[in-house]
Amino acid sequence: MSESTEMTCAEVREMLPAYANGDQPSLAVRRHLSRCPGCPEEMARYRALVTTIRTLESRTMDPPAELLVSLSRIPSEAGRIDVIRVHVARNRRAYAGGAAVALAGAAGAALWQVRRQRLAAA
Amino acid sequence: MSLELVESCKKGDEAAWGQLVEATYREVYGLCLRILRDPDDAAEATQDAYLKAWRALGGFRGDSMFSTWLYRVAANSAISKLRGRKRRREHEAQTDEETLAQAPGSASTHGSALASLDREQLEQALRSLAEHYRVAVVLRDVYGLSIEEIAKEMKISETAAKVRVHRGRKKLRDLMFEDSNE
Repeated sequence: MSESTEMTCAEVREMLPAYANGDQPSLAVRRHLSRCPGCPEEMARYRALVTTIRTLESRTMDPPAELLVSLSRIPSEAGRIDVIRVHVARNRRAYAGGAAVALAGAAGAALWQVRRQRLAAA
Repeated sequence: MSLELVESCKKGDEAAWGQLVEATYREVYGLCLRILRDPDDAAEATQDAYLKAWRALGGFRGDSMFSTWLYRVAANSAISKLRGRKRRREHEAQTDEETLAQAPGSASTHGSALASLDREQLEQALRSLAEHYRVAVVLRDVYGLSIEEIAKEMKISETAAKVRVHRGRKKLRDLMFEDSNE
């Protein structure tokens, strides 16, 4: 670094990820890169990184075999899914009530069982 | 992806829909898997994404590429799933230190940095990134969403989205070129 107004390697390296996708660096960064022996290599690392990341889009991963079938059926089943959702939403209170009654019944049965065991023991 | 195919789907053509799905579902599943890291969750998010896409197709005006539009829908589904999962499993969040501890091993860095990087190693490095960086980098650098689109899908400011992409790239660089840190 010959002049104090010029950017340091640390300052430049902090900014390099922003130029990884090929965007033109600012004039001050370019000036530094043209004179620094190490920072252009660092810039090249970021560019290689993003260039390779971009290729991952076409690197497909094997989806489950049944996925294609279920996705293809969406037009014929979307309506049915909506009907089920609307039904569940409308009857949410009734379902919650039913669940509460079932829970209360189970608790009552458990209590009754405990009481019966105590009586038998006595 | 031809616009004609999309237009046929808008009219309810189920055969066209089948073709559209066949042409795109691997990439959409890949996007969901890269965000969620779990194959079952990714398959569910993919189904949700296509259901949303089927319903919202009428709103696609062709201003952007169809694949970009579909990626946004998929990102929305995957991020929603991520939030739901996070509520169930609060401990999922990783610290930066943990992330770095899980480094996949460095790429060959003694040669030129321009040497092509190992894609599997890069996938592994992406998977090991903390969630908020991983989602931002995957959407920006793998699927080409804009900072504005990422901010909308992640429900954060554009500045925050930009910072996440920036820091995510930095962490990836550290993971991939481990022995070149000065």
